[in-house]
Formats: sequence, C-alpha cells, structure tokens
Amino acid sequence: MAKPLLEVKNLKKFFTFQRGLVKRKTFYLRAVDDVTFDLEREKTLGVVGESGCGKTTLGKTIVGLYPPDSGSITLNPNGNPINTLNPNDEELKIIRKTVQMVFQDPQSSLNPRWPVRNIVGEPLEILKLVSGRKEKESKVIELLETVGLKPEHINRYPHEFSGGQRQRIGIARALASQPDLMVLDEPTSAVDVSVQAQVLNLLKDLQKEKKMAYLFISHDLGVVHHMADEIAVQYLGQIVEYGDSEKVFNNPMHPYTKALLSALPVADPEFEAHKKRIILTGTLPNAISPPPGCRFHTRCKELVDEKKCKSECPALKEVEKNHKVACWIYDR
Amino acid sequence: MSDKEILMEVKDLVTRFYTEDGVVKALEGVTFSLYKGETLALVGETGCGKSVTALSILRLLGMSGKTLKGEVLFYDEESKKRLGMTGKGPIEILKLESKQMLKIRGFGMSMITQDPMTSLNPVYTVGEQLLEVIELHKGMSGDEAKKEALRLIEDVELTPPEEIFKKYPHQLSGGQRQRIVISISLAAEPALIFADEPTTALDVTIQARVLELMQELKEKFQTSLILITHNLGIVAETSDRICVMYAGRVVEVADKFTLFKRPLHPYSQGLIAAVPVVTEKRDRLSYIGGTVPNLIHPPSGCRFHPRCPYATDICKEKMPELKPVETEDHLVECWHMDEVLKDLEEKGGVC
Repeated sequence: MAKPLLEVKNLKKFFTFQRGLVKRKTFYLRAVDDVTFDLEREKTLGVVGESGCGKTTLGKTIVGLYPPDSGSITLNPNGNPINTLNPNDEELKIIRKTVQMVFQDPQSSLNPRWPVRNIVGEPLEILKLVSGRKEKESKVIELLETVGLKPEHINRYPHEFSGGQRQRIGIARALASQPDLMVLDEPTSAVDVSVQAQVLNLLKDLQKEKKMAYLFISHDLGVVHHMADEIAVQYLGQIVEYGDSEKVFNNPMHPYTKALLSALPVADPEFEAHKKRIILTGTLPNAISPPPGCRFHTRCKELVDEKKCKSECPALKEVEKNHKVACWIYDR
Repeated sequence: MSDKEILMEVKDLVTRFYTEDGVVKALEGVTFSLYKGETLALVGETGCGKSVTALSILRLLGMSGKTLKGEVLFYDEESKKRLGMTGKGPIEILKLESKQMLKIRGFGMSMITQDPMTSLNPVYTVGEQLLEVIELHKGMSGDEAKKEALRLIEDVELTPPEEIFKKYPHQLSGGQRQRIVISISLAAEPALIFADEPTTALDVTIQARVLELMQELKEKFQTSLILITHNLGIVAETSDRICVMYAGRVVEVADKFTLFKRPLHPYSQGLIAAVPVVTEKRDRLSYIGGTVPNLIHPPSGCRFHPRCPYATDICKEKMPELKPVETEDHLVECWHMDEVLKDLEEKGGVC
C-alpha cells in the first residue's frame, strides 16, 4: 500500500514566554501536545474543537509556519518521504510546493497594497514555476478563473472585493503551486451562509479536479460534517477522538465529543425538539497549566475511575474500525 | 396564534442612513408584530437590516441614521403606568419624548449586544454597571440595590456573586461577560429584550448554556424576546416564530416548523438550503446566485428580483406586499406565489 501523503507523529508545539519581574519564570503553553495522525491523498480530515484548543497551531505547524518542538511531520509527495523538521533548501522548496494554506480572515491575510496580480503571482515567482511576465500573467488569470473570478480582476486591490471573493483570492494563491495538501483554517467563518455554500462547493470541486488532500480546520461542526471524510476532535492540544466522519457524528464516544455535538444548534427544528443536550460546566482550562491526567476530567460527566482519570492521561485507542478514542471508559 | 396577546406592532418602518457615499436605504417598510412571551427571530444575511430594525425601535440610531416613517405600537400596561400615561391605546414609541424614551429603555425594552467586550464599560466594575441600571429604573439605593445586584448575578449563574460584583469586565471570560450583559438587560425587568447575535462571540459549548439560560430567564421574568441572528441553527433551537429579512424588507413570516419545512419565499428557500446540517449528508450545497444588493442604490420593485429564479417584469416594477399564504400566520411577500406553490407540489410538498 502506498504511504499516506502526510504522516504526523507525536507532534508537539509549545509556546514559551516569561513572566515575573524579580523571579523570572518560563512558562510553556502546550498548544499542540503529542498529536499523531495520517492523512491519505484526496481525503479531507476535519479538525474541530473550541477556540484555544490548538487547531490553528496544528495547521500552521504542518505548513511549516511554526517550527515544531518535537515529533515528526513526514510528507510523501512523490514516493520520497520528506521530514519537514530540518529540511535543506531543496527540500523546503518541495515542501512549500506540496503544502499550502488558506487563512481564516482574508482581510488580514491579503496585502492591501498589492493588486491581485502580485498576490496570486508571488508564489509562482518565488517557486520559479513560471518564467517571464507574460507567462506569469496568463497563469494568474488561469488561477483566477479556476476559483470563479474574472480576468479583469487581476489589477484590482483586495478592498475592492467582497468577503467571499477575497476568500477566493486566498484559495487561488494557495492553488498557485499546485499543492497536494491544503490546510484550510476556518475558510468560511467570515462570510454569510449563502456565500459559504459557494465557497464550500468550490473547495469540493477543486479537490476532485486537482486531487488534493485537505486539512479542514473549523469550529462549525455542520461545515466539517459536510466537508470531511475523517474527523479529529481536539481538546487542549490533544486529539481525544479520531475516526470516520459518519462514525464520529453518528456514534460519538468521547464524553467531550458527545457534549460538543449535543451543544451544536442544528437548523432543523424537529431534530432540535427531540435532542438531549449535555451542558458542559466550567470553561476550557488554561493550556499553560493543563489539568493532570485526562485533560477533560475537570468538565467530564462520566468519570469512570476518578483516581485514574485525574492522574493518568489516556492514549488514543482504536475502539472500532477507523474510530479511535482517548478515554478510560473504553480502555479498561 | 390569534388567541395570543400582541405586545408590539411594527408598521411600515422606513430608516435611512445619511453617509458620504449617499443615502443608505436600510429599512424600506418593515412590518411585523410580536406576541407576549414569544421569541421572534429576525433572520437574514449581513446588511439586511436586522440590527437596524432593533436600533430603530429603540431609537438608538445615532447621528447619521433617521427613521422617516412608520409606527411602533407598544402594548405594555406596566410601561404605561410607569410613564404616567393615562388614556387608552398603546404607547407610540416613535412619538415619545427623549426623556420618556430613556425610561422605556429600561423597564420597557432592553438590548443584549453582540460583543460583550465593547458593550461593557472597561473602567467600571461589573457591580457598578449593574447598580446604575437598578438605581435608575428601580429607584433602589444603598444596600437594597446591592442585594438586588447580587441576586441578578446569581440568576445568571455566576458564583460567587460577591466576587463577581467587584470584578472588571476584562477579568471575566467571554461567556461570563455575556452573562453580565444579560443580567444588566434584565435588571429593570423589561417587557421586551432584543438579543443581537448574543452568542456569536462564544464557543458552541458555552453558547449552548447561554442560550438555555436566556430561555429560562425569559420564562422566569415573562419577557418577550426578539432574537437577531444569522445562525439558522440557533433559530431552530430557540425561536417560536421567524421573520426572514432581505435588503431592508421582511419577506416571510412563519412559525419555525413551517418555515424550515415549507419555506415559500424564494429567498428563504435559498437560505435554508444553503446551510449544511449534520442530520443529512448532501454532496453539494445549493446557494443563491448573485450578491446582496448595495442599499444606496437598491434594486427597483421587489428587492430580491435580480437574484430570484421566478422574477418577471412585475417584480422589477412594483414592490410586493406581505400577504397570508396557506394559513393566516404564514406571511410571504412575492408576486409569484402560485408558481412557487406549484413547483413545491411537483417536488412533493417539502423543500
């Protein structure tokens, strides 16, 4: 069997900062703490979780915007695995070509002083994918057309576009290097529902056409369910449940996933009327000093073995086929 | 629903904003009524006039905005008594003097805003901000007022109340802050609360609790609620009736089960079909073509006609009116209701 496109093993990303005037102490914010998963070609992995759980950090670390602290990220673009931890210049170029990112807020991720020509053309130039101005221009126009924009938009500036169009520019820029993997960080959280539907359709079409894999980060479970083949539920830097999208949605096993799904308002009043809601008490604990043991134990309603939950951290374990859960309930 | 008592009637509200780029025709004849004790949701995309409707009724439009026409009739006996008004008939909100309006904005109606970080004053403690409302509208002072404030903090499930009372907004989390805003809006026990995207800034798990809390408090204080949101999930969960707005017009009004099962206005149909839901897996989402119109130069006639699949000449010329279709309580404004209904029959009755 061919190797998966992306292999992430025991990935850790801590942010350090110092506090205190007299006694300076170093603190670690465990944004991504021991995350392991694979992503196959042409598949979509949805990453869900509350704000502050480290979803975005995970995405940025995979793209290479943050250097990981430990663990490994391996890419297999064309049979030769590349470890993205300490790449040399040549490898870095391949990594950049293989992995691209679409950011959450198109307002702040597009340079307001650049016309679309430069924004979309920059990756082409840096990665030396085109030679000469003419070729660059025709390639940029081609990219704009793929995402549903018009050739005459090439000389416009970001502020002349609507939110949905700006997000399309972001997608065009990411497509420029013909990536195998796209990291989509909340690509539709800044737009309205009808525009969101257009952007999601576009992303699905592009995936089929260009044979890309997506890492789809979102807090909107409805959108993730629509897009993803597999789902990873993240809580305080760790993946607590991982598996086929249908399995996770129809049969959530981790208490946190159960609560998360039950809290989601669904646009279907009849479904809402019969739904049982699990309300989580308390707030997301601080990632600087996460609770010992299972990190969810402070809000968990189903503490099976209080002593164990509070002292030992459960590992992700396959409970049924393609469905892994990190909880002591299923690990006894 | 005819057996229910009406709390407020909004008739033909027209609001304009005067900006450097031109006159923004934000509301063009908004009409709806609100029953006592119900939750009415105003739904629509950004810029359709949901928030402006609330601000027009509260008369908080600011310098550049003006309500040119329309009536807001408020049938609340308690408010009438406290304003010292005698005589029959409702309070005409738009004709009140600003002093009376100040009072109405306490015991008559209040508002929960979207972003609690900007609606709370950062330099006053939570307690001081609560006391202000209590002293102003309830006429309490000293220990009595403080007791009342602590009771309100307890009502929104923040513990321990004494400690929360002394805290500044930045010392609280987003969910806690929104709870404080809710408690302030409830402080004067208003008959009507506007909740403008009350949970947009919150995470789903916290949102669920805040929505539940709002529902409980609504029942406890017997207030009515106008919920403004673009999130159809929240609407399905919490509202009783729904008003769909588009470009400054109310295009459809119905109870929530009808509106989700059998939306009749082409815009409502498009909006509901565009939302991905976890209860069914669709391969593609349908969407409404085109973009939301610029309200400085809104389209003539029915404002939805440039994006509407049913549009004909009459849609470009004349604005349709809200009319009951099928049942008394299902109001739709569209020239082509017959064709829409015929298409629905062909599809088997449900959208």
